[in-house]
Amino acid sequence: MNTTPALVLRRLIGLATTLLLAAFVVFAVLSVLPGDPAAVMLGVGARPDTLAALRAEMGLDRPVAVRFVSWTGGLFVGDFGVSHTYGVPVLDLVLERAAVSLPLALLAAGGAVFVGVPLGALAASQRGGVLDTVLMALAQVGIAVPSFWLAIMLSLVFAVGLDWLPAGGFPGWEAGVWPGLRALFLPALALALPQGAVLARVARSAVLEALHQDYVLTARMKGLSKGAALWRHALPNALIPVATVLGLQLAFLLTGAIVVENVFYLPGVGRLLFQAIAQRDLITVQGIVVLVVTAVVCINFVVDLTYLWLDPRLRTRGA
Amino acid sequence: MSLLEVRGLRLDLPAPSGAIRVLRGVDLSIEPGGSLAVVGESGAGKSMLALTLLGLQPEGADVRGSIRLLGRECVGIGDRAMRRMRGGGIAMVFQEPQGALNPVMTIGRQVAEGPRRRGLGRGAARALAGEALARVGLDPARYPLDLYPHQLSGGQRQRVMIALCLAMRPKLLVADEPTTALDATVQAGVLALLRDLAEGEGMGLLLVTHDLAVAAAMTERVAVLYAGHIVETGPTAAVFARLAHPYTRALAAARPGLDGGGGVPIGGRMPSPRNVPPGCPFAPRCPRADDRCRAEMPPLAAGADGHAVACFHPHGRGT
Repeated sequence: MNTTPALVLRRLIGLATTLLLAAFVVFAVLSVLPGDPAAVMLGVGARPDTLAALRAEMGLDRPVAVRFVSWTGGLFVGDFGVSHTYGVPVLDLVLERAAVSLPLALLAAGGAVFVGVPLGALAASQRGGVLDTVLMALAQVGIAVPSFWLAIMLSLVFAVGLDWLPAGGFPGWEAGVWPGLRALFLPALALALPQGAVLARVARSAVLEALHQDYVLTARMKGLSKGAALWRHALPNALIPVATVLGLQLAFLLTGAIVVENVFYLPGVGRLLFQAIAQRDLITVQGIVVLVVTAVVCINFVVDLTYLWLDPRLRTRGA
Repeated sequence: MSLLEVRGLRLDLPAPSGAIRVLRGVDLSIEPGGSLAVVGESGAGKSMLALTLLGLQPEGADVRGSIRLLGRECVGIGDRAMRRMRGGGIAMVFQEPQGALNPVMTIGRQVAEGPRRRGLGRGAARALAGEALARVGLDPARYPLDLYPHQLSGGQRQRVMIALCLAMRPKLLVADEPTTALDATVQAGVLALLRDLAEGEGMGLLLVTHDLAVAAAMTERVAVLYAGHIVETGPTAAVFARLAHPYTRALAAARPGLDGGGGVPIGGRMPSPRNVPPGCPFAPRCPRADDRCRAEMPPLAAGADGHAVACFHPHGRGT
């Protein structure tokens, strides 16, 4: 009856295919882009023989196909190559930076869900009322405002103006959990507000839709109050469309983090990617893209599992 | 004391083009343990009547008149007070078991929720749910409490819905077209179950149906609803011995028989509740109507056998 193992297998095959495809695309694109990493490293005045020596050392003199196969082969055993600019393995570099980016993304996503969804449900319960109008107007603003602008404004008001929180930088988790969280608070807020606004709107319309279903009437027939019928019966059903949107948002969160990390000078994966592109550190760029794609595929997988958990009808389909 | 005593019940739904007059002075009563069928075609106001009895009419509806349930007035008492009447006082089986059960909650929890709301512990409520399900023919040995509604057939879902009501031990069970959405082969079973349970539990039964034959077989009394008016009512035997109102006759003739007889459609349409003509609402479709019928609503006049008809020219008194 249970289709979950089949789903897991399908997802794993999908993951491998997606990764291979992503690896190919990112490699191909970066190969045809102008900008020789060796030339960038040595500067404009480099002597041709020095340049050729460095290119050989970096493996850039080999044919494209050979480079692709050796790089892709390495990916499967966890060897992402060595960063041209940092001189350390790309994987180590990314994992170190992920210690900033991952908590940032989780804080932002968690904040967006735990604030956006209840507010959306609240708006739905007061449909047409003052609270509904105010909340949805705020959500509209939240959706319209870009994260980077919000990041700058939050930084100006709460860091520069009020001096409540740091304006940027990251003390490192060695300095303790609290200073770390303090440094991540404003960037997470800048990421979470637009996402939470979208979730609030989705949750509102999903709850309104669910409130029209007969099972809400059944719940009230049992003697539940309108509020209890909403929280216990309408909301669990409304979470199914919310999960879809959240899955899409999490992928965007990873890319949105690039901009926000730069505004707040956070040493995260986004900032690493930004710098690697500027310095033509192609192997690092490739590695980050592949890892981000992996993360997105994994997120989609978790979203699919969440569906199974939220909607029992999917668990036995075709059984 | 009557179980249910409805007097002069009016229900207007607000609409931009003026109020929609759904119920226009309905009187009915059910004695403890008694049964009544409300018969009529779609749009007569049957379902709205059923919902109004539970205080679950659409928001903004204007309800006037009197509904006394177990001796307590229910019109205008507010949702909080009405909530205490629902479930234990009055419960309802809806037309569509598909939509009336929450798709993401197990049947056991849905049936147990009513008793839980009344302060029963989790285990006791679950045991009660199992008993109620067993009584409607869904023995938990074969149909575990942790099944979801989609794992059951339409008829089984309607049985769950009945068990859900039964678990709350209501004094009055309202069933709104409980078999309309079901296959013909399971309709009889569900109806028989309802009747047996009502008799066995001493529960009052208000059955809403469009089918005179169902009414004849199921209940002690019938009331024929047309355009928000009761046009004919009385003990089932007396009413069926002599269908007196031209509308009731037309309704009986419209029902196709197995012998190929019947199936005579009623000409014309029920007057729109938005635009109510003066006089008898059936007059525009009635072969017996005269100028008086079109000007004046005939009162519901009862004969010696308790058979009451709202008609100036009823069938059967020497005509």
